[in-house]
Amino acid sequence: MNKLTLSAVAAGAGVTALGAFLAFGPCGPCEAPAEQSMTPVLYATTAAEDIFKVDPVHSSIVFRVKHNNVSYYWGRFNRMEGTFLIDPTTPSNSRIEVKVPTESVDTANEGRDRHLRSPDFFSAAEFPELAFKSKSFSSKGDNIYDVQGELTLHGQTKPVTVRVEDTGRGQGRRGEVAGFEATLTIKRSEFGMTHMLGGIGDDVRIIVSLQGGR
Amino acid sequence: MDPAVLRQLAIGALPPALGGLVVFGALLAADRPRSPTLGASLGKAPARPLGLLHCIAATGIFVSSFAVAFGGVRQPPQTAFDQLPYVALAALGVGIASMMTRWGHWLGAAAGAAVGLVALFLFKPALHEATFAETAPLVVLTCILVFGGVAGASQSCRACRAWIAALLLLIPAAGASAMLTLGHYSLKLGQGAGVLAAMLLGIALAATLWRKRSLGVGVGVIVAVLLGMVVVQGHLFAPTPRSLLYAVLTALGFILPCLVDFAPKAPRLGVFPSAGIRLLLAVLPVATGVAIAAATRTSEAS
Repeated sequence: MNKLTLSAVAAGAGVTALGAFLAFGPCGPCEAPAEQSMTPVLYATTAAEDIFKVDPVHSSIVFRVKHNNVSYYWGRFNRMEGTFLIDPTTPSNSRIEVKVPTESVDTANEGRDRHLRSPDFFSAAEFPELAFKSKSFSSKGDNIYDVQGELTLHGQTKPVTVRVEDTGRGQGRRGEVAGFEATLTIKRSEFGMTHMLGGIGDDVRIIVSLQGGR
Repeated sequence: MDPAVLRQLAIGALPPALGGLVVFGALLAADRPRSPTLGASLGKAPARPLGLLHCIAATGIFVSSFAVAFGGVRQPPQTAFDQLPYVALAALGVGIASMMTRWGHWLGAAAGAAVGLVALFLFKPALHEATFAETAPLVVLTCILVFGGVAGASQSCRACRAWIAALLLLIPAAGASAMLTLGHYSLKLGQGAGVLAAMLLGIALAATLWRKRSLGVGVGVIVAVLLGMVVVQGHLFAPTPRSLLYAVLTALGFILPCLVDFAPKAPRLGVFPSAGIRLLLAVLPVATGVAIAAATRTSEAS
């Protein structure tokens, strides 16, 4: 082989070796993110038994988005898990942590649901979870709180503020139950979901109504 | 059709089609005409410097059109789809290497398969955690299909005039675009393949003006690697029960036309009969895949 051939082979081998190193080597971004524990880090004044575990059977997460800039259509997520505690006496003890499998999106249209799960929108196989974790609560009176937290969607984590209403506490068949309703509006483009922004709105309103037991 | 979808398709299709038409029009015009008879003389790729320019032009048109269609090239990539422009650069390296070595045909196919394998694990890092039994079939199938696709695509560029070669590459690209849109429910992936198809349509149109020119072999390599990676993403991120069938039919769209070269009477076939048979062999598997995708599509999406 002449020098040119040798150099081309060497360059090709180099490119392949570099690619192989990037794919298989011990680089940080290549590694799958470690599974986060569902157990929140407890504050000093809160015991584990104080936390309510989300009851997915009696909880709902719905969202709405504008279509063709004329009307809203609604969808929901059929599965969720998480924990929460809303402490009206000491709001700093409060916390919410919710994870939602994006694969569970449901808009009552099989074709649209598959499209929503595709890389065009949620890319559910690539980013299987949508998650929210609260950082701080501030009381607005009348059982209303502004909750600062982090929303992870489409592989991106952004700070958001959620309006939360403490909807009550009571006694269920298996112990104490509590609930809340949270509302927030996000711009999907800020999370990298930019597909079809002309026909499908950028603003997505999410309403989360959870019941938990302990 | 939804006006937003039409606008998105226009943004995705026009720049690569115009780029292919104008840039390859100029590059083909600068080349020397080949012998009008089929055989060894026509089978030669354009001279190396021009062939290399073909590779660079194809990669440049794809990356710039991708940026126009999908709002830029993300640094660093956020999703697997965002990695396609970077895969294009790796495919460019393979395309160039395949034109500069004596065993370029097989080296290009092997290197293309290697790029496909690396990209597979970059697209879905969770595969690192999967067991051997879970990943092995996917790895083996990816290597076989990309190897076959690249070998077929580069052979089409070697054996055919530019306009035929461009059409032979266009058919699997357009078919994959339709299968990804209809079968995988992903307009985005469909448009990714559609960018390649639009560029090849532009090249085919340009090549009809200079019918005796050849297309750089590396262009076939680049197109096959990129299309393979879009199809792989369809299987990984928008899976359907027929994902692998679509992938196999797309690869066959590249491979089957090369069967003509193994026919004993192939050298005596005229340009048009040979082209007709090749195009038919490319259309058959791809049209089958598109028909299955259309027939099994459920209700309207989005």
